[in-house]
Amino acid sequence: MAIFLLNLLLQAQEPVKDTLSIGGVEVTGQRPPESQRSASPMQVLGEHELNDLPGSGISDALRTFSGVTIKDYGGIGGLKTVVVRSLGANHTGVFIDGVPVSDVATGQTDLSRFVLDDLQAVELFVGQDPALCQPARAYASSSIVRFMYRSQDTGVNKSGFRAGFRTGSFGLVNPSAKATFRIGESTLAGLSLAYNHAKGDYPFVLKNGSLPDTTLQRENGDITALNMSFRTETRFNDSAALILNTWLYAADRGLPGAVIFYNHHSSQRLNNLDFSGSLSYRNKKGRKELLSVLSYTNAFLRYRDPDFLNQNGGLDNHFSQQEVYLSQAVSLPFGSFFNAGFAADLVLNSLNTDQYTAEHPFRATGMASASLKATARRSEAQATLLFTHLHDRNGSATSASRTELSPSASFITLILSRPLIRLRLLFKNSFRMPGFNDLYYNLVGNPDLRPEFVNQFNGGIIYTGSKQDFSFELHADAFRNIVKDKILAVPSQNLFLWSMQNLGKADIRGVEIQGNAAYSHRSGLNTRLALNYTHQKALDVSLEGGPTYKHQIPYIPFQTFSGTASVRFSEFGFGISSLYNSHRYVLGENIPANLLHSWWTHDLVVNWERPLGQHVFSLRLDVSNLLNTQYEIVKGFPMSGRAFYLTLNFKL
Amino acid sequence: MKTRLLLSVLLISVLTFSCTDEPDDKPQAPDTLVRSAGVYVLNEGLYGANNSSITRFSFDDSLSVADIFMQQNGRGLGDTGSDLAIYGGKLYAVVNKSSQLEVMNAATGVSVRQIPLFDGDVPRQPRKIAFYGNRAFVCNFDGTVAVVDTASLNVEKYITVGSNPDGITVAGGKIWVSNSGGLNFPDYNNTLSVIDPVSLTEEKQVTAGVNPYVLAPDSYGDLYLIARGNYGDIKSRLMIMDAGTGNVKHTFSEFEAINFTLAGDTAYVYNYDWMSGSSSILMLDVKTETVIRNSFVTDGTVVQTVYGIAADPVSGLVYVSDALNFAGTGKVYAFTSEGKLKFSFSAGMNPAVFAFLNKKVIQD
Repeated sequence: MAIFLLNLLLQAQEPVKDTLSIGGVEVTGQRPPESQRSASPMQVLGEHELNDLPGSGISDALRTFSGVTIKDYGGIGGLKTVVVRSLGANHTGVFIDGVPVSDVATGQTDLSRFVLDDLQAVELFVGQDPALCQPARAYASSSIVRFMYRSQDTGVNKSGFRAGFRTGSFGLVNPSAKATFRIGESTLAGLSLAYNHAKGDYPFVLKNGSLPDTTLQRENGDITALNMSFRTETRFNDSAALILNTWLYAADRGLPGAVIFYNHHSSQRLNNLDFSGSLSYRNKKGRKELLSVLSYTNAFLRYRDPDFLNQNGGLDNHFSQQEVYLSQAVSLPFGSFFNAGFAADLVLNSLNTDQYTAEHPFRATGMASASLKATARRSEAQATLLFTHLHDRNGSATSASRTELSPSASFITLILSRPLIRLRLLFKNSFRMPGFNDLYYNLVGNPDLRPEFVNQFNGGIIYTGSKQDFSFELHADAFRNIVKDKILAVPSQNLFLWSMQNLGKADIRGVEIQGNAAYSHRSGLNTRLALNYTHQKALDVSLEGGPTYKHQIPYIPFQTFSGTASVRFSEFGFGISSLYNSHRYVLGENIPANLLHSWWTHDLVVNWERPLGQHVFSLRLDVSNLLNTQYEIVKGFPMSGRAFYLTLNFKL
Repeated sequence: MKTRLLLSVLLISVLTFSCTDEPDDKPQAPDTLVRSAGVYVLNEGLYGANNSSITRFSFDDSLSVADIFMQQNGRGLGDTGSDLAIYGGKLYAVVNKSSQLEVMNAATGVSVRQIPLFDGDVPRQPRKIAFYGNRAFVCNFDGTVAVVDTASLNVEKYITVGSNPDGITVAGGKIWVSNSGGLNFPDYNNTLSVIDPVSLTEEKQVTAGVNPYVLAPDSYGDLYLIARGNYGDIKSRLMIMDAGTGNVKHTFSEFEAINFTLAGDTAYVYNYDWMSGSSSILMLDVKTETVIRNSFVTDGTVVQTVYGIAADPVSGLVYVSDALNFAGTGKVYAFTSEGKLKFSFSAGMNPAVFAFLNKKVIQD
């Protein structure tokens, strides 16, 4: 709390600003010009774009970005993790409203738990956000995904209420409500609640040799989830703001498992009960900025397999983890050209389970970052050094420490002003620590694992143009990622016994091209088109002469494409999105037996929003997988075919 | 040229070995001889990937068919094959995760019957198979042994044994089942169940090593078995038990062993040290119970990840499978008993078990 007191003392007496725009949530629907000026490749979907994008979950938004592969096990309850530029999901940092979400057991974040309602912006940074005043942890991943939720639905001084109901295919029932109200003069509070239930019993086609295709139903794919959040924003007499964010997530779902020939029995269950609370304080005065974050997370996970053939009559595993997080960041000017940013973070993680070789493993991570940014009229350069010191305590027995320095540098310059063309360059070094599962999981874990290191290089050009009501943007980037000490699960004595090893090396080269065009007419007609293409060669270079040498690493498509288009006129909105993933291999050896076929899917949405006096009523129809394509993202986990969702929203 | 050379070498070895057969083993008409027609290799595939397969290598043309099951039946074998055997003209494949016993014509690979092994709708997860008289005995991970009539191919009975049985064989007129308790980490089982093949009941349980696995009898009244240990301080060992009394006679503590096969008086025992990624195969004389040779392979052939071993009783060749990196095409090497490579061929993913197809030939 000392940090917060310090901040309050530092507050200068500045005139009250006539805005509720607060750092971290200042995106208000307009594409921030930042994406055109960022030395780190950045993609944003703002409020309107999200609204016009078909989909029923937040991963539907993220997957339209270039360079992104969502590892999706199918269905509403299916786990979904995000892979950026062929670097495993553990290398992607996920931030919700500026606060990191983490899982010390797996090191990955399941995106299926986050709700779509009130989502205001989704951002993806390759490398890092060029902002100077941010937690040291924001520099620690090879890429960052940020989700920002709307702080209020109504005007500055009003209280408000929103109620929504979504229903559709495979037994989806999803009511949600949000109340916004004022507490005193300067605090705005929001309480939201969402209940989500789906049976997830979608049909899929089973192919087995030359047997006739059979249509089966996915079983044990149900989910019941409750999301509850309470958020307050307090503005002080200057532009400073204090944000309290609390979040509760409870879910019970079936894990349908891979489709197995001749055996369709499935009974595994997963339960989550997560609580997270964070307090952040931000104060910005001119070029000086200060940010303090304090958060606490408690995540409980229970996994049950009633048919596991042990003597206890099934598996019932419990994992309970806690995280305490503290961050203090500041940015300051140094003369007229330079700005510097400093941050210090402390993360404490503990975990309790009976499934580990270690009792109560504990991890303390201290991070400090220093960034220097030089800004000239046409160019900007930034260098960051992240220092990480980590201490693992494995029960009472052993402990391990590690210290790493991770540098990064970026540069952007205007090379032509007519047409407007910028050149950008980025280098970033980062690493991911093995998760507790990698280190300690019974029989599988390997406490001697080292972190997995990544060097990222990116070079690209940004072209922006506009003519009257028409605006156009083109980003073209080439990248190379080199991964060493890649953590792989390797069978040890037999296929029932795997072990984690630092065996891999990967060399990833790719090209990303993004094109955006928008047309806005005075009559209120808005159209937008976005096309994203990625080509990646993600080669395994672990062992020369081995059977997987220079083969594409598992689950990385060679090409991905996404195209989204939307039209908005008066009360109506219409959006369509098409996605393509080329063929992939499910294992390291690129042989036909390991092949997973390419797929195309098309989704669409129709929106109707009607003001009723001071209230707004809206109706939305989503059709996902319009052509009923049968495909798999993860081998053995069929995705759902055509589905319909209807959403009603009412704002008071 | 190579093929022809190989064939002639094979024929010579076939003739040599058939002449050295023990005369009273199985009385044969003097004008017939048994010839190796081919070898079937069961490829486990990967757990959850529906890609178990059966590779067939035929000596007639020295050709291998990558997946004879798929070719002959137009469908996949299923998920995680765990055992393969020929008995009475039929080829039996035990498919663990699909929970099926697949019965095929041994000569053609055409499926005769697919026998589901479920308890209600819960898969029993069959692991290994053995035969006695007109019955097949399949041990299931749910702690049962399924008794299958080899004529009608119906499941007659499920006999309850210990937890997670992971090996089954016939020795001293009894069915021996290793109760691994493999799914009860860290409290593994250490017993063998002894089943009477007439009354079809569990007669008794005897104590063996921790986490018992593969077992096989020698011709001197002993039962050889692997006790896998706890994957920690208790190492995986080869043990000898008395098949009459059920008492442990000896544990080979000087080497680690994860699997073996018996051929005549020789046991071929292997270990795979996954920390160093190296494989080793040694030869043991079961008569004297001493090591013959610490390194079976004598010609420098490198087997990267030894994953299965078997000796062809007719040709005497020793087949060793190599899972390589567990994630793609595997390999099979055929060695002479002198440890010299005779030939090799590609198999499917994680080749593990062999079954030998023999043909009776009328001599001119």
